[in-house]
Amino acid sequence: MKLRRVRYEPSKEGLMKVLGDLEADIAEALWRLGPSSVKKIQVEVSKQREVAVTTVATVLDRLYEKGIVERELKKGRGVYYEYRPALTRRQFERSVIGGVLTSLLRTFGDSAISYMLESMELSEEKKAELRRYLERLKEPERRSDDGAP
Amino acid sequence: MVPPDTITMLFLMLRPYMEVILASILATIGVFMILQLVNKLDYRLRTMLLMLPLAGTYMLLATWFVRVAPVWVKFVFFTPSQRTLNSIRLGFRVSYGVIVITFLMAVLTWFFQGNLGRIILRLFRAKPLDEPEAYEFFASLRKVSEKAGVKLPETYLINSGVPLVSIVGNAGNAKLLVSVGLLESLSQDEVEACLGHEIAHVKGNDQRIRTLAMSMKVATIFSPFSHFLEPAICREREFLADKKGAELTGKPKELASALIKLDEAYSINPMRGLLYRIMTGVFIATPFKQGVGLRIFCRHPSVEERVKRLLEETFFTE
Repeated sequence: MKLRRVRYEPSKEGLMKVLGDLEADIAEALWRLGPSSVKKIQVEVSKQREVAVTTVATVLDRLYEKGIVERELKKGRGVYYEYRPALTRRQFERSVIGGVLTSLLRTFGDSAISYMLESMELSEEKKAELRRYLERLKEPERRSDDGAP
Repeated sequence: MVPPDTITMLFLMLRPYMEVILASILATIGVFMILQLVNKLDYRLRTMLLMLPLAGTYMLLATWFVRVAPVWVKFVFFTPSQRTLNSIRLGFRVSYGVIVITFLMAVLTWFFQGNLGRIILRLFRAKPLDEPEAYEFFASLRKVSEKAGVKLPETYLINSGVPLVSIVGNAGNAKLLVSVGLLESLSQDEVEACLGHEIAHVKGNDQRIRTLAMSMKVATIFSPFSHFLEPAICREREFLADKKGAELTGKPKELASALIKLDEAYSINPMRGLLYRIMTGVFIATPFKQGVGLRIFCRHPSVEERVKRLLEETFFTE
């Protein structure tokens, strides 16, 4: 799952590094609850902070645009969406790490790789493995530079 | 060196226009001053007053070039040289051109506004919503429409979690647009109050008034002050729709709370993109942040003022 329009801000705490304040709370609530309606999510979020259902609905819409949640339209007694996380918390964290690392490698290239290798105390074998992994992350950029597919 | 004939031509072209614009500016200032004296709750009178300078500018523009200007020129230039005469002719052709172009623009605006419903449906990819899909919602809509004596509007669902509601068209062919976000996040009473507001727009023929004002604004596009008038007219209609809607449903407090909630939601997550910019004034409240300086161009009054008036009115009627 590719995240869209997610920005990494190292100065912020926890999930807020990548999501807005309220977005982070709502995403957390959704991970705890599993598939649920907006009203249910609002009840869960309200345990921490006062927030209107309309606001939760609007923020969820943005999370949906970012690709963090999925939704299904339900009709019947009322018209509503059932939201569910598009990826588990672990998957989400991994995709953020992937995004950040890739961008670092593409910007700073070899100096980023050598920094990472130096800063971590690893056996030579592991270091070689890590280097291969990082080189692979860096690759798509090089390929596109050459104009090759 | 610019030949004097060209200057004469430009002068002839611009002078009448400048006079019309000056007249329109004075009329606009005059009307805004009069509005300060008129009861702020008499929305119909205020709309009429605001329409006057718009209509006046339009009439002046239309008549000036056709009747007044040629006569005036004949008196000023008794024996013009052939070259001057040619320049004057060209000048008039350009002036008539301006009239024709602005008229065409007005017609286009009229056409655009008339088809706004279809355009919005297409842009938001709204799908028809049928009664079995949302009983409670249709019960409220039926109740409000019947009370207002308006045909039940066709209802369309916008596939978005953002709470949006809007009505386009006039009584008989009105199209109501409502988003999933609105239905899932407001209480039934609040939804009904919003419907009251929208149905009041239909009942008050606000689409026609808006179209008329917009067309006249476009026709008088070079008069800077006409740009203040059209949004001001829309704002008066909003107040009126709030008032009439609250009367229809008997739920002014619910309308106020719905407005506050929507405004809060929009301010936390303002809508982005041209789509919402173009459609400003169509939704019940403005779904994006608007600078204070731009308030005069905003087609909706501030939510604070709307809520204040809604609550004041209920306070006095209860």
